[in-house]
Amino acid sequence: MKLRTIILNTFKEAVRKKLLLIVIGFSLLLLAASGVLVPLSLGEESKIIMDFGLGSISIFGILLAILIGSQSVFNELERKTIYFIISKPVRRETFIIGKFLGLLLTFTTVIFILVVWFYVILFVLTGLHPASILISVFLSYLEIVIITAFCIFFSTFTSPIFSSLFTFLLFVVGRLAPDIQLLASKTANPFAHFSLQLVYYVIPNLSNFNVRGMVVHSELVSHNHILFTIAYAFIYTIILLVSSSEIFRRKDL
Amino acid sequence: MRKWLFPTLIIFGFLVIFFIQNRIDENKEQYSLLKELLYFPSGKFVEQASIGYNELFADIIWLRAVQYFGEHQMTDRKFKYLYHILDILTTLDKKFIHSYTFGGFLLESSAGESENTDKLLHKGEFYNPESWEIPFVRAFIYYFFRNNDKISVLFFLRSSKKPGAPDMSRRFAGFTFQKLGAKLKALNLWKELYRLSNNPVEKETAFRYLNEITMLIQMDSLQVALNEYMQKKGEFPKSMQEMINSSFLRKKPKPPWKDEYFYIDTQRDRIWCTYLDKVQSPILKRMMESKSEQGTVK
Repeated sequence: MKLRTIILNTFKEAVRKKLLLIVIGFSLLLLAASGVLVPLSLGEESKIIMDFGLGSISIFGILLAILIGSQSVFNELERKTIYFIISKPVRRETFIIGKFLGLLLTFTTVIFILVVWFYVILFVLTGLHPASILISVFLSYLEIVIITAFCIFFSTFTSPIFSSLFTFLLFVVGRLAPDIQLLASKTANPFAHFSLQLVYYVIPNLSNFNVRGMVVHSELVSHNHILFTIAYAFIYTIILLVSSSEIFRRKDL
Repeated sequence: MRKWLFPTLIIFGFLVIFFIQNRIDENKEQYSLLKELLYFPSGKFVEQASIGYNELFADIIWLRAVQYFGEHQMTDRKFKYLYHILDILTTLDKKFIHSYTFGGFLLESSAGESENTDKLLHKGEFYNPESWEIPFVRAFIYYFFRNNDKISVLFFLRSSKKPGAPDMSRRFAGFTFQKLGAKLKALNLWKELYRLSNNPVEKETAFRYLNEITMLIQMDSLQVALNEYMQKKGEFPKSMQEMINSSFLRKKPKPPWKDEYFYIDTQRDRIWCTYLDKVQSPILKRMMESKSEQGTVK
């Protein structure tokens, strides 16, 4: 019951933000604008629209997660509403999980709206409505889940600006994870090799979630890849939430 | 109890992550990221999409591309998308000299795409008129791969006139002019390339050609000894030992590879090396035939 209240409050609070509405509006506009590219695509209409759509959904989802996610816990602290919550019999872990799930509810709603709009545009412009798009969107969504968990993690001990910055840097490094592994495999120095391998396994490997190219080119995404990527996102999120809860529990409020 | 629970959980979590990531990597198609690059219609498109981070994008593509080239060089030697990738790369970073020289070299030597080699190197010279390296590689390609001394010397000269050009550009132009023995010139060119290159793939290729040309030069010397033997004895020797016993050879020469050897092919009346039975290199064949082809400069 308490958890549900926190989730719903976080959701209502996020929905009230102008930023969310601006980003949604801009994304919808951009998705519709992909139609402008059709005459220039020389027979590659569906590819261009799908690339554009899937890319936009991923980029705006990540952007929202970073901008809104990094503010959520800090705002409660700044506005002192946190004292009202923790004075009640609510465990601090419950508060963190509630915040996280509330944000996820917001992003799920946003992604749902974007995907429906994307399908409408794709169908109107090309007559296609491939189900495989959902695989790519789902994996992009899991990426957003990890990014949100990172925002929550950072916002338990730093300001929204730093939380956004750290999350964004982790996002960039996470996307380049295969290059870190490549660098490790090419490094002769055993210490450097070990360090790079360690970095590779510790940072979130966000390349796991990128199957956009495969989906657009109708290549099969293996079940194994999907299952292991779901497991990866699940475990990684648990680690981040446990760590966030632990830091927040020790915080002197 | 709780004090230990948190770090234990985190360590356990990362162990599970380690296991899952390994499984994902096993399943993942190799170079899928590079494959995505192939979907881009042109370098111009990627250039615009990189919103000013062209060089950074180029570096990332370079890292992945080098890995892809290396792998194919070692395995199937098929480079279907090589030019496309190099074109994107050099559009993103037009001043990336090494991507032109190394790329041009690979396109000619490994992919056998002469037209694309010229296109890439021509583009390189257009955007980097001060570079001595690009005309040098063009000269090298004309000299070694296309057996065209006439055009080669023009590029060696062009290279030697660029600012900061090393002596070797002029030296090779001279060598080519003087029309020295083709194999010796080639040997020197490859030696220089082997010495100067920091690129392992380029070095490995240079080393392979150095060995092959050394073998051809050894075969030439053996042929001289064989001719003398036949002039004196009026018959073809049955083995190399026979030539050594008759003092036409001091000792049996050893090719550059450990497991290979020279022998007298009595069926075809020729000196032969076991290496040639295994390797079917068109360049090697051309060097053995030493035929000259002439073309035009783009």
